[in-house]
Amino acid sequence: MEKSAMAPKEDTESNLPYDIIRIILLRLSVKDLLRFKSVSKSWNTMISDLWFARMHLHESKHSDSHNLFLCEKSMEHGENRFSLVSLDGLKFQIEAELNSPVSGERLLCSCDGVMLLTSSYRTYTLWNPSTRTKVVVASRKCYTVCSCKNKSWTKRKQFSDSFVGRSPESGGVAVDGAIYWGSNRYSRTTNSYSREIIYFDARDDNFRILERPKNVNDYSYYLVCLRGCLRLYRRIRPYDVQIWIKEKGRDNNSWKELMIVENVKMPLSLFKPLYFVENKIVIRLDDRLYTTRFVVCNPCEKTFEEFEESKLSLEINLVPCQNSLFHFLALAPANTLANIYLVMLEWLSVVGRYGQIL
Amino acid sequence: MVTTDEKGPLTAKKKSVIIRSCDGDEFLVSESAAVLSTSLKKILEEKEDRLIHLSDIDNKTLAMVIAYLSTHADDGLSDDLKRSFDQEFVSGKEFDVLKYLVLATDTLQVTCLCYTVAKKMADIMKNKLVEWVRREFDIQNDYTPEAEAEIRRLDAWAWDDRQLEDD
Repeated sequence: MEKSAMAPKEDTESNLPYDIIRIILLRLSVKDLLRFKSVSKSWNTMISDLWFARMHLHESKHSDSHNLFLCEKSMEHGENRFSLVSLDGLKFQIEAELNSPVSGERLLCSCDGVMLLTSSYRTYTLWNPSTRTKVVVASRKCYTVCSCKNKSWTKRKQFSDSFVGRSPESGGVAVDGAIYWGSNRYSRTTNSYSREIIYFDARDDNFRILERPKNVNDYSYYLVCLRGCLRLYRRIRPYDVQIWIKEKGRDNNSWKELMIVENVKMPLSLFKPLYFVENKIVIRLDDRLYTTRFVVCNPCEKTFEEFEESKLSLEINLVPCQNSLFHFLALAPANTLANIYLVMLEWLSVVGRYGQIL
Repeated sequence: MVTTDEKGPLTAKKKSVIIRSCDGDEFLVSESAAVLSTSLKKILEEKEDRLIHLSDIDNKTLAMVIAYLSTHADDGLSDDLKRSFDQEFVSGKEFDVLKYLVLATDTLQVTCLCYTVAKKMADIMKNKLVEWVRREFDIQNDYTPEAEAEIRRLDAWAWDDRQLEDD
């Protein structure tokens, strides 16, 4: 080999080439990265780069040890408190305690580490708890889907008149740069409703229908993103829950059956798979008395294991979060704005649920 | 000196290559381990030569990389065992050693080891002061004091922590 290892590289001021430095930095937390912007001008340029932010997000999504959630705690004197919690294996750890960026705001949904908050559905704020930055994105006057392409918000049409009552149980699920949610479709010919999976593709600003898995015709199924893949779960037989997985990628719409979780006696709406630990699933169970339990389910051995008594029992809302560098003020080029835009879409689905839209 | 990697008699019969470090020491490595490095694989495909000279990797680093390659080429080991080997492999290593290792993985193109080492380096960098980073990466501060103060002001919360370390 001709290259000499520790001699200064042409493309760098350091004793390591930029490519390697980048690989290392992609594995750091947002907090460390923000601090290391002041190492040198070239480090600042690298870390502030949007491509870097995307790669970093990809990295933190795919590292198994990072199951980050934002917990919304019960209100104290009208102020919401949030904690950033990492769930590593079977351990909870509070990474940071944060004040709500805007007084009285509630957490609605999230996408790529960006949270959408609202106060009484009048104003909407995007907030990145990793970078602690926020921006107010919309007020109630702004009804249609906003696209940020061409650096401006433009109005988009809604999907189709035949879809009503968008998402009764949750906001959309953001996977692979698309957002998915279940929506009820009314058919005039049969005068009946069916429940379809709609997704929004940010590449061309279009809504599409995702084929459901074979034989899944029932009305109540739920969507969730686990390990970077879209999953669908539904009840089959009185106490069994069937979980499907969609192949990775926006254009790969094939489903396969992943597993059956047996002996689930509570209503499915109270059963919330959170993340995987090896082949086990950590599930949050809310019962009707507003107590929350976390269990570890091993579908192969058909066991449920209780989590140790956790500090999270009082939390009222738990939203998936990622270590994300997205910084709204810095977002400029058109395609990188897709994320904000997707969050707006979740907003659409949430607003739709309260019947205030269009 | 020829150092064999720790392999049983079964794999010793297989084809092997000799890899020489920049210090001149030679290591006998099974071909199945060597080809896990994309660079070595290319060299072996191009020429018949069973002796490969690496002019920019020292003894100590090369020995570590070869131990890694041999373990990962061992079909008898489960993925779980390989994963725990990886954890063990980087644990307790000095930042300097990791720097040489990550450079070697770059030269030899061993992507998975590169990521494992990079992760370990990132773990060590957690909560470190900027001055520590400049020292370890041998980087000159090219900010004016005013410009640096401005950068720090933008994300002041990331600095507000008594946990920051300088060693």
